[in-house]
Amino acid sequence: MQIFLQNSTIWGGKMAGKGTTNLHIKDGVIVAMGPDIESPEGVDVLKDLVVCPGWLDLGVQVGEPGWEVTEDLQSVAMAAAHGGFTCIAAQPNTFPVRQGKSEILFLTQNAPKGPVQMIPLGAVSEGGAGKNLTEMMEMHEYGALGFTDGLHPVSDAGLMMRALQYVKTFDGLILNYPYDTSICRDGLIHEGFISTSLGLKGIPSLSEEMMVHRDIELVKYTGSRMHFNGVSSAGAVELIRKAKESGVRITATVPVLNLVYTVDQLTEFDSTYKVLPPLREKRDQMALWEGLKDGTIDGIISNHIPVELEKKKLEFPYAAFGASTIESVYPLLSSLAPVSISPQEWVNWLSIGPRKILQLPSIDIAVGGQADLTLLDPTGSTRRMPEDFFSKSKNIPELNTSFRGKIVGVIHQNQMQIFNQL
Amino acid sequence: MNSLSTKHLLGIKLLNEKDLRLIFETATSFKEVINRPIKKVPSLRDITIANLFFENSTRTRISFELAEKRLSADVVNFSASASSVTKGETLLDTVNNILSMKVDMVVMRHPAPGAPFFLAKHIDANIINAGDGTHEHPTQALLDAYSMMEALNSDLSGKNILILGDIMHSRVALSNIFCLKKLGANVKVCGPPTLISPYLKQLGVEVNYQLESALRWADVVNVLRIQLERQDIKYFPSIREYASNFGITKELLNKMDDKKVILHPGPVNRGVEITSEVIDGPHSVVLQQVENGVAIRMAVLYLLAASRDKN
Repeated sequence: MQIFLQNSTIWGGKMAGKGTTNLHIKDGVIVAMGPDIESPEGVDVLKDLVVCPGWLDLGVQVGEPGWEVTEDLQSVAMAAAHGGFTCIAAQPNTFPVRQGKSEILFLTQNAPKGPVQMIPLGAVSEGGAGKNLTEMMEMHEYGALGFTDGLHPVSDAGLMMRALQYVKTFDGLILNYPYDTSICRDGLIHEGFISTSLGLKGIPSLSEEMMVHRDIELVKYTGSRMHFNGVSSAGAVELIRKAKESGVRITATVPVLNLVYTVDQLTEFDSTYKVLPPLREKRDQMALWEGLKDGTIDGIISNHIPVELEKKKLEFPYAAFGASTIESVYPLLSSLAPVSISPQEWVNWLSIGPRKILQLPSIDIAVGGQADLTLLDPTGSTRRMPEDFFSKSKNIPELNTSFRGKIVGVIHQNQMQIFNQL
Repeated sequence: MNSLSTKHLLGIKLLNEKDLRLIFETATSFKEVINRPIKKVPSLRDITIANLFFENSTRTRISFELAEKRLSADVVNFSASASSVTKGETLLDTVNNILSMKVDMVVMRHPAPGAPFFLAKHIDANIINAGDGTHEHPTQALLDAYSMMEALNSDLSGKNILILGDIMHSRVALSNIFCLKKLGANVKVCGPPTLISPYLKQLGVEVNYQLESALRWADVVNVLRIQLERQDIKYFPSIREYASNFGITKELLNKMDDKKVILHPGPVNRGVEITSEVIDGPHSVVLQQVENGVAIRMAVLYLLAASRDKN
């Protein structure tokens, strides 16, 4: 594998803001770098792109095994690459649930040989049912970098406490999707004026804040590490901010849709925007941005939940939650973010932050370093016809449009995937 | 020619005040028609209407059917329990099959909020919402407002209307609120706090948890049915406690200084939200509501069919 990246703008790291440069990548390693180096003969050249340390997505449902009708490892790898991700953390909500050594090995051994690395997350509880702890020590030994019941919040405080205690043997990470379902059973959208005027059961911000508060107290008590994977409310951001200030070992990420949309998307019962955590109000959206800007929130996740259209194109209450978003993070943020995003912020929120959560080293774009890169063109545009997407599920917001910003490709693991004609 | 601003009747929320006034005026003409010895007019002679009821209904279904027949429309009826449909054929397939038989208008009742919006997005016929879960029941709100105006012999602007009972699970409450606010009425709701959304005030209504003081304020009371079938958990401890705190009784009405107009969308849980003495007594206009329901539905069907001709 060889490629020459000519006249590239580097985002993040020591090279940021120092003008354009050229990179020669060979056998997965950056072998030469500098404005004056020339492309070796016979090597393909990509010009005038932004080169970014490879992005990592902590919120991905991979489908396989069990839900191949929605996604499989091959399709999710292509979709991730198309979204600019060189690494994804696979949520354990497969069938069977990824809850032991054999399921961890299934993922690591079957992950496609390409530029997208798949990191296994294991379940906290058997079957994701929230009752009995899984064999987290063994899963850790076989490569699981975190434990979560994924789409299912751990409701039982005692179980969560024991999970946090148990992983202390290896300073493990527990991830939770903070959502106390007991106060909003069968909630469909954010509770507020719109849910009331649509006659839909609401999901109050309180349901998220209560569980964030509970988990912060549990982390204080156990001294373990916890990550909130997908916060959506202003109240939760504030709780996390205060806890972080007092040194509690927590981190948080926010789903891309909650950064670009509000509950206003739902006034005509469009099930495309029926997602968890729910889209909330403008003040929540802006609080999430503020949280990102001041470091309260550590990164952005796609919250990629592929759902077949048969389960989505239904009357609103019957439609499944979730959106296929892994290919949309960059174009949605480039086009719809209500604030400006600096090059360093892109890197912080999509590469450095998520990697820190999993205690992975940051990627340095330097001679001799492994090439783990996301290539993008901020001036390009992304066409969003259903056939343009690699995800098997087309529950994708903003279909049949075109958005600013284009992912050109990814390079990682001595492999590359380029979506432009060379 | 006067026409509605919309192709469908999905909810009162999407109508403007002019639409409401036009429906009421048209209903008045039709009310005269249905009191003639020959109650039928040929207005919808070439129109085929499908009544799709995915949820139980007696009076709304009969009222629509009667309205359609009085307008000389061809009518097909389809009833199915929602569960049998969700298990097999999707709503869209069911409706598309029926539309392939060249149906022009669809009257639909469905347990899912927003189901008529879903349908309107995917099919070409005019859709009339005959109640969608806990969202809206627009023709009920129209006939309620019409009946209130008739009973008060006046416009509703500045009038005090109390909606009492299970506000949270009631599509009638929501449609009534939208309709009455558009007509300039003052709206208050009363019921157990567990059955009133904390965000209801943002719709421009007042909330009062004390029935007697709320009743004293009101010119008209629309008493809602307790929707036990839509309550997945217990929102109040017992029917007994509900009835003694939020039920309308003759004794309570006797304490009032002025006569109240009492409406109920039916079916009535006699002795729970309202006693038989009241529902059958001089305050009640429930039977006028039923009669007005046919006229209102004739008006809606007629006006939507007219918009179809225009298109």
